[in-house]
Amino acid sequence: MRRPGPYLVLWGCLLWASAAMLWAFSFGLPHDPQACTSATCVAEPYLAPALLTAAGAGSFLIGLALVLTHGGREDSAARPVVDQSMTTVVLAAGIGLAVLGLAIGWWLVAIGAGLGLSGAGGLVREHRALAHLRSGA
Amino acid sequence: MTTAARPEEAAPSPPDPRVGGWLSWISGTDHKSLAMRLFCVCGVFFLVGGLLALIVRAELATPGMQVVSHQEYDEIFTMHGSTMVYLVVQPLALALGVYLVPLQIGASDLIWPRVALASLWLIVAGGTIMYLGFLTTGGAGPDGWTAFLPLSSSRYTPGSGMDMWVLGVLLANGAELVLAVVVLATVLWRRAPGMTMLRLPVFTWTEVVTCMMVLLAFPALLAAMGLVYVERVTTVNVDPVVYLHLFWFYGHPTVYVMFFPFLGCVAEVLPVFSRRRFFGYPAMVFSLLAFATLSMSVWAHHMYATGRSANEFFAITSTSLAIAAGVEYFDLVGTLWGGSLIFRTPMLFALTFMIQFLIGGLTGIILASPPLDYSLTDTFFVVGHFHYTLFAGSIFGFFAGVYYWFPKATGAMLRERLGVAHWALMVVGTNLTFFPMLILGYDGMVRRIANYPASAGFTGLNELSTAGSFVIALSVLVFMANVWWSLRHRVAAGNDPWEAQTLEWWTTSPPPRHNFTDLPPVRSHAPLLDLRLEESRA
Repeated sequence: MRRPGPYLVLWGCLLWASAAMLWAFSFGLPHDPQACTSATCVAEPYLAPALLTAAGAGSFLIGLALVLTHGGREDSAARPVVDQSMTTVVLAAGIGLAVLGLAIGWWLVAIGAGLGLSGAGGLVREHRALAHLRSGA
Repeated sequence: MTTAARPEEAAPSPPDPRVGGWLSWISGTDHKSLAMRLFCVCGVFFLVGGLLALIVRAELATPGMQVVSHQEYDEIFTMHGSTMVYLVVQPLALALGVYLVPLQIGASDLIWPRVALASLWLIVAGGTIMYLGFLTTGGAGPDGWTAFLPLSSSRYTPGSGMDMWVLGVLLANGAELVLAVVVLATVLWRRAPGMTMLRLPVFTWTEVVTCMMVLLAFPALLAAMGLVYVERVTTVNVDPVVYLHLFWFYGHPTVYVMFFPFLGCVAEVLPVFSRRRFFGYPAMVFSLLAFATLSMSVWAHHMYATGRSANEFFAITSTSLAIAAGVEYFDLVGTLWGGSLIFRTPMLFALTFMIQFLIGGLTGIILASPPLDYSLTDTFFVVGHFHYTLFAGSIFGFFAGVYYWFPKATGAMLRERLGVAHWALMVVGTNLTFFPMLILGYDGMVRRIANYPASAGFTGLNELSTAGSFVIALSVLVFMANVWWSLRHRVAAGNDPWEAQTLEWWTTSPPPRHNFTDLPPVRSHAPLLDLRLEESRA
């Protein structure tokens, strides 16, 4: 297995195997729910196995997508790299202020959102400039 | 893409006049500088969190309230735990990946460096918001790092300090989730030619598994914190058991998020300082996947005492962790077996990690058993157990990595004598602090208390534990002095001072902006060892 997809599929299957056991245990073994002790007859029998099943699905689907799209190949392409990105910092500062604003007041959320939007706009410009550089190369 | 010509030693690329200064420190996207900034951020939070731990230990040294009030104590132990988990060990685990993964897989950078940069500053923002709670009238969040409902609802914990704690945790962990995605995607799509999945260095494999666990488990924490926030600002009531499931579905896997990368550090150090190839590489890789599966399947052992979880299942899976851990220990010991051991500082930390984490693991098996857990839950035994895994284990693994990769990152060697002094003080301090906690818990001292009666018989062991915590603080000062001295009076490291085995040691120290001008052929997980063996045969 040279590529990552099968490993993620395998891990998803392992999580599902564990989830299958948890489904069984959550509803009691043997199958008669009345027969189990209080420790296995849990109050929310669906929640715990559903969480684990969902985690297994996450890994399985990412792995499957990688397998089907032949993704995760080795890479030898040369690319221009970005040295600095002040707009990213502005975006992060905007998000931080907006989140703090949820505890302090909506005025700060508005300032944070404005700052975040200007950062996002700057990122779009950066992206275009990089695309221009790539097309020139 | 292959060559036999190794980059010249101590030939760093000329500085780019456009890059540098404070602007670069804020907005630079090079993964190495980004990781170093994240290390610095974690270091600052580590010092603050450590200071809070010293206050907690000073308060608990003797019966009575000597240092802080009950309310202040609650805030301080909460911020200590939250800082160490959310702002120190979790981001450190990812910062190692940000620095090392591109170098180990032969890539020039992270796949999305801007996203990683945003994550860095969002972690800083999250931590700052959590600490801003101290400036509010009600003080910072006081409900423990777990913030169980209904205690953390606005009815029982009013005030904006707790709101800030919840929002800060949301922001920092959301950023860490995004950072993990960047590291994982870099491994998936930026591996150099020849670097197949079964040729990834062990450290990179531990990062892959860690990032997958972050990807699947951290959304549960975000959901849990979202529920707490909704409960605080609306009239909606959240079932505390639903919160418990969501929180621990994140809370236990994150123990391994805070363990695997440091296990990876040890797994890189042991072969190099044993002059051997890593023993049982495929078994290690598949046991990591099994280990990660089990660690995602054990969360409700934190809920045994609620009587509302499938205890039999979680007891089986929790005990089974010993099997996966056993395979990994077998590989580590197998690597040492018959090797020419070199006892330099990284090796000392790595060997101590193995012994001390074993104590953490064995006490974990005790807690995996529901009947034993019923009597030990919420006692200092649990506190001792998780400090043996997270501090005596992970932090020792981290320092093994720091002493090992410091020459690569800076081009300078850390001083050996100061390193040994740091290690010795830390071993003494760690065991003096945390082993008494195991006995205190066994004797019935409950956790999260600011005071205890003098007649309880806990005083002697608490004094010992407090003395140990100050020895740990001293050891950290020795480490800081070592870093300062080694950078001020540099002893050049060269490209590969340890005769190491993985790709990062092929390039110059510190590596240039693009990491590599060319790469050696990659035919196994230890390409430089392969190259040396070829040269010795020729």
